[in-house]
Amino acid sequence: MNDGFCVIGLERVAGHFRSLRPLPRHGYAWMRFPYQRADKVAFDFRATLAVPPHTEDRGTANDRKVGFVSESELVSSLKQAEVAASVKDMYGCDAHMSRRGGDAVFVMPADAKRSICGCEVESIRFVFHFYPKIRVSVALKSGERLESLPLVDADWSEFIAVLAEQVEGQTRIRSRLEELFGSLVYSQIRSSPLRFARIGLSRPDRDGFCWFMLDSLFPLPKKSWLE
Amino acid sequence: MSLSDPEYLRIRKLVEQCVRTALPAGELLPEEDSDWIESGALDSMAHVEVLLGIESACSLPGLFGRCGAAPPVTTRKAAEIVMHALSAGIKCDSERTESTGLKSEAPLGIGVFTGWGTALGSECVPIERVEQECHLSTGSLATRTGIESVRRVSREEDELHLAKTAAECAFEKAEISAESVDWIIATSESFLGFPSLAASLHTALLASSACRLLDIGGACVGLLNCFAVAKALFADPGVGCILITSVDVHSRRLVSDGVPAEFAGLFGDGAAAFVLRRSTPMARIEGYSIGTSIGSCCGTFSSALRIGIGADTSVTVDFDGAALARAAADRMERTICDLERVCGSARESVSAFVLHQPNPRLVDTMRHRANIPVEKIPIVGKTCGNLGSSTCGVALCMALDQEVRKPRSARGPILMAAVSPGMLWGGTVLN
Repeated sequence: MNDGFCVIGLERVAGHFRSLRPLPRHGYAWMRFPYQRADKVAFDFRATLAVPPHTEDRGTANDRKVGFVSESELVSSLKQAEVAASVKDMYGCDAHMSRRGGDAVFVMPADAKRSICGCEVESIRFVFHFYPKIRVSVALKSGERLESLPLVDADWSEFIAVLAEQVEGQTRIRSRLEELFGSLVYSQIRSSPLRFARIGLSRPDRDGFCWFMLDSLFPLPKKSWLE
Repeated sequence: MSLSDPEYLRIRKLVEQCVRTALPAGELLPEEDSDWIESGALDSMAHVEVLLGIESACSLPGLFGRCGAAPPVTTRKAAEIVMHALSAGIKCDSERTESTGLKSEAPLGIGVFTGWGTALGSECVPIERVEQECHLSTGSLATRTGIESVRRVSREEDELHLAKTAAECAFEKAEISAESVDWIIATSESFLGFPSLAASLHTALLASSACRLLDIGGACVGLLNCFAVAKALFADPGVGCILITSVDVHSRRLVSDGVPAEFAGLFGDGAAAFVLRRSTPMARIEGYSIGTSIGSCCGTFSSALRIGIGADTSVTVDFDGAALARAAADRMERTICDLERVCGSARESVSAFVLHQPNPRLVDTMRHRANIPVEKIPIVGKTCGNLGSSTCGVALCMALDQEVRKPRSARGPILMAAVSPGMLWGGTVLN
């Protein structure tokens, strides 16, 4: 959840897909990543020591675009990568509730087998309570809920930032965003056949906790929803 | 507002308690005007969690979303927002009272515990026998859970029998008859038929024809749900007396093939009942009354325990014991902390902690984590097993029996906390 883009890609492995996280030369986040979601990007891989649970980390160099796929192709591919029907199966371990008063959940790095997983979403709610920080609640098809997920999806974050810029008066931003999502956005998500989420794990914080985050939400937001 | 204002100091302390939850052990609290994030005390994740914790501790959900400006990043700013909201809230309440003509001579009523009673299954079954019956290795339940025996109903006993017996004990202590009761509120996780438990109890107790009935769910949190509802019902000046009953007979329900033996073996049969009578806040109350209650559902852990009932009434249980135990202990500990903040009483001043007791080992874990002296937790699970919705009820009766012997000035609040599948959680303060 630091500055920059955390990039996740898919590589084809024996008839299905596997997530990998291309890393820049330094650090984990790309300060500049000149590609769009659903672009096909080729990399040369460098030797990297991936530390659990971020087993998908791959050092990269020489990135270049080689094509792109549609949003529906992307979601279809993501569904062939890591998916789970329950919270426990997401990372192969139990989740723990926050000890700080909120409802966010985390895993211990040594317990988790991976750091990214897809899931079918029953319903979703954005929480603008602490705007500009945005949290998301997700109800899974399994009947479980994930609360207070930090939104780190770049497309959705940008969509919300553009919306917020159009709101007059700082004090109204939160309520106005809630109204706009209630009237224009949730219905689009609900009715989309692409509805799918990818939940990621943050790097361990100083307590050693890896927090659940909303990495990607499909459908991707469209400007046309606001017209 | 001045820095020496006692109310401000109280709120600042509360804010600091919440900030401390996100600091590594031994790290000093940030200064009052120090930016939590810039100073490195909190990261982005912890910032939001701490703000949610402050809202929860002050019973002001959504507070920082309504305050207009950006969420606070200093202790002073957070405390000021809370203080402002609390004083504005008091003003709002008084305006509403005047405008709606509620400024009546008689203040709103509260329910006071005047009677209570329990009824346990009449058979006391040693855990070794349970292990044999369940084809479990010797000592497996005893060692893992700390349960020494479970209570089971005899052939002649059932939910209604236990509930009626407990209710009659409560009536006797309260020195009233069933005719005085305006509402019967009942909860059970094992009584599934109709007429419902409340209706069956109404008939069995020969309660008055004006007595109203309510069945409430929530499984192990069911009794706390009943208390929350009873407290609200006393806002009606026409309500003078409420009977609350919880009962479960697990031994007849958890016998299907779909129920793992190591799960079924933990449960016992029992009931508890409480009579609450109207008093007023101005009256010199001798008994305990229902204070603040908190609760919700933590759906993240809902898959740790799922119980289904098939078309043929067979029960299926899907549970992950380790995950359930850990999530339950975490949630119970947090509920105790939240209750402590909400009621404004430090846990040292609490007279008794009435906790749901899935098993004695788990209670021990919770006790150590929450730093509660053993004598302040009435233990039910060790000799009775998990009584479901009645675990808290039987424990509360034990606590009330103990407290009623003390002079009024020596009694502290009683804190109740429970969790149940969902994961539902609830907490109630009895003052």
